[in-house]
Amino acid sequence: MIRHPGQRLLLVVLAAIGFVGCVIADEVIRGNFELLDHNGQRVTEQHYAGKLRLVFFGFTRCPDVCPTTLLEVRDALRLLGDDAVHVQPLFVSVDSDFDSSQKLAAYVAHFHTSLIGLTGTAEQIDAAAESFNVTYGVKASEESSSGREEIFHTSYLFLMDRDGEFLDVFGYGTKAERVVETLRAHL
Amino acid sequence: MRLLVLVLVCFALSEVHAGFDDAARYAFLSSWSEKTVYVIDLYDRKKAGEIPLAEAPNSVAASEALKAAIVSHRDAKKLTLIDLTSDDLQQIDYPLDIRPDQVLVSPIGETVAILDQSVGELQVHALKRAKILVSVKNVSTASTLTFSPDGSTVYWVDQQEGILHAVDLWSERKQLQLAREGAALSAMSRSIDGTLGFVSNAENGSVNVVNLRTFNVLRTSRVGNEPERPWGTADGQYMLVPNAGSSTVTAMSAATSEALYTARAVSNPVSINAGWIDTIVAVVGGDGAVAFLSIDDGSELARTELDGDPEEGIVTSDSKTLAIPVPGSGSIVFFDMKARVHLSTISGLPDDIGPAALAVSNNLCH
Repeated sequence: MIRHPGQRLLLVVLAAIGFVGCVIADEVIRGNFELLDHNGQRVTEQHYAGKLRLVFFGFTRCPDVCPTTLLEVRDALRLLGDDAVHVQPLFVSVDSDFDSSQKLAAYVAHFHTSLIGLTGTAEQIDAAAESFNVTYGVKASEESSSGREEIFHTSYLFLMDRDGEFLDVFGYGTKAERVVETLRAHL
Repeated sequence: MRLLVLVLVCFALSEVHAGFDDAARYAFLSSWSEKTVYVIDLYDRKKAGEIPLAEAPNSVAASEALKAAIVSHRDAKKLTLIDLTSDDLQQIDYPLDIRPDQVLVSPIGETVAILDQSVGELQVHALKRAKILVSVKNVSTASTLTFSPDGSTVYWVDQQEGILHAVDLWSERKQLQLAREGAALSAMSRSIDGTLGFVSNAENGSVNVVNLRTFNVLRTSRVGNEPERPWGTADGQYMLVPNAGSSTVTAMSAATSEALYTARAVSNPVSINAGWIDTIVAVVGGDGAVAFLSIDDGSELARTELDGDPEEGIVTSDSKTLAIPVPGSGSIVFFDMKARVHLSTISGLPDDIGPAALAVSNNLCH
């Protein structure tokens, strides 16, 4: 099942206020969430006020896209040097059944000390995904073409400003140097 | 052959340094007349390099896994693999025993499907091992090829017989009669998760939705007149069907296979490219018109005209920029997908440039 929880709700809301026409990404991405961090603490986007945020949705069992992206985030933070304190990287798990806070804590530690893993109930993750216009889904092994359970998710890396508002987006494969260039413009 | 394997393994293991291996940044186009591959910097929107070839190329593809550009030479029956990590852009020959009319890089990037239309043979090669994994004969009327997401299966439509075919890496084959002989079927497009196949039938204005695991038709949806091959959006939510007969686009839900809306677009569509975080779609017409539509409801946001007949457009992996090669004017035209405005144009390219190839082109991990 492909989940994109925000779309139907959004259309209903827009219809209710009489909006007719297109829905463009920067109007859609609100960047709100209420989740648990990898220490088990309840957090929202307000918790990281004052810092730029790099936000990525994925799962710890992801074989390639998630670790590749998080390595670029790590490299970007290293390249920033002392300025890295102004950036909060966040990794939101879309695999709440498997990714406990403990598993997330162990996973994010592989990448960078400042990286925070976020998880929550399926409803909380749905709401966070909706707020970032992120699509994700889980396909059971008997439904998938490969015969294995498959999890898929949007692989954008979002840059949010110090108030949690959307600033920019990076596509999969973007190198750390490019991310740093953009971050420095907003420091 | 052992030397070839050794060189290919070195390709994959070589340390990454200055070259054109930044998969999100560089696109590649080939020119037959100039025997050259052109490297386009999508960030700075400029020509970043030219790679001269010993023989004229028919097409170029890119593999992120191999960090290589893969150039096909039909008459010479070979591929040229260009190591994008090396400063001198080392080239090696990859000989074939068929003519590469079509070369499709698998999503995992280490295998390619090669179709020789004249002798009707399809081969799947493991490039690093320089090995033929699968060979299928009698496919002379095969459509454009499609890989499953894990690269284990290749699909094609026999457009003469009206049959959808599949072959996996263990040479197991499946087939499904979708239409009568001679019906105008399109190539198959699959859902991003690989569970559903979508095949247009121009004869009756419909799209067959196929369960690719069981190989049964799940649904047949009415779309517009003379539908062509559907295009999937990067987030996997929609299949967009260009209707050549009515210059419209029908959006189908990839989840439910239902036709959601049909919107006015452009005539002779050559590509449908989704962008700006999966909210906008650009429909590129063969006569040079480009329509920007809201992916949500198909409402038109902007429309522009190109100075010539375009090739398929590509969208950068950050979803922000649309690049359209225009061979007749020797140019690549860039648009801002968010603002739906022209950004810049690279001119001075040959007038026979082919489609642009990107190693990273979608934004759904699975």
